[in-house]
Amino acid sequence: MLLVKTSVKPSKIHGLGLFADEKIPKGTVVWEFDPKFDLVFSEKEVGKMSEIEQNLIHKFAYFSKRLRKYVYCADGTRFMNHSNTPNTDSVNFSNKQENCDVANKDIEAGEEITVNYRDIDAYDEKSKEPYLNG
Amino acid sequence: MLLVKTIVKQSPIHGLGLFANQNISKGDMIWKFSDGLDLEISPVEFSNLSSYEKGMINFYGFHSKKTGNYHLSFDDVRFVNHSPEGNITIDKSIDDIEYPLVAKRDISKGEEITQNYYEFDESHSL
Repeated sequence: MLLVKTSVKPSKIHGLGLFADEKIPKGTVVWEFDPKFDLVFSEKEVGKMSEIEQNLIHKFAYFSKRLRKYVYCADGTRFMNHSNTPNTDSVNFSNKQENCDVANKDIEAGEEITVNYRDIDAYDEKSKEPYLNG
Repeated sequence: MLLVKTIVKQSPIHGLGLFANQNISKGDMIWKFSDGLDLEISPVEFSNLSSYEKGMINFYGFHSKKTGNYHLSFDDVRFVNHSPEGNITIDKSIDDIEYPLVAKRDISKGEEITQNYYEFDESHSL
């Protein structure tokens, strides 16, 4: 669940992206797991879904390294694009059940919010997809 | 859950909109409720949400005339813009948690998909 003001807009990186609608100071928690809006599915549960649903999970969810399950963010988070030089990092706070996403520098209003998929997604970590290296 | 190929793009109506990425025939089912993925939130649960969470549901979801619950779709159907004419509509002949959506007329690939919000959203009442 996003904790900062954002909007979803066309991105220069890929398709749609998530953009800051306010200045976000370095160290701000941008996203925190909220079971009301961040849907969690085991691999077995995803396997039982329809093809369309599975495609959406594979496109928009991440496979959490910590939860060992798919997390599908029902808010704009699912549009966050990958960057090798992201402006947010996945941070493990021991008192939270899932890693939070934290601004690693000041992010200006209008700037796209990015994360390194390899840091959050167990399957992307070792993926050879070209866009993850670009 | 959307059952047809679509794409989200900037819309001449408002912000982003949902566009057909295939030709759709009159009567085709566009969307149906997806249990476990589409969120149904009771009025009591809604009242306990933060103002931020309520804002998101009011922007991307709707207050269902059918169920009295608040609904948030997990996929891109949330980008459908309002139009008084609307080229899709609810199909009350098929009962489900939320009524399915069908094409009111043929929709060409590239055309924006629109719906009249007044037919399903309690907060859009005449």
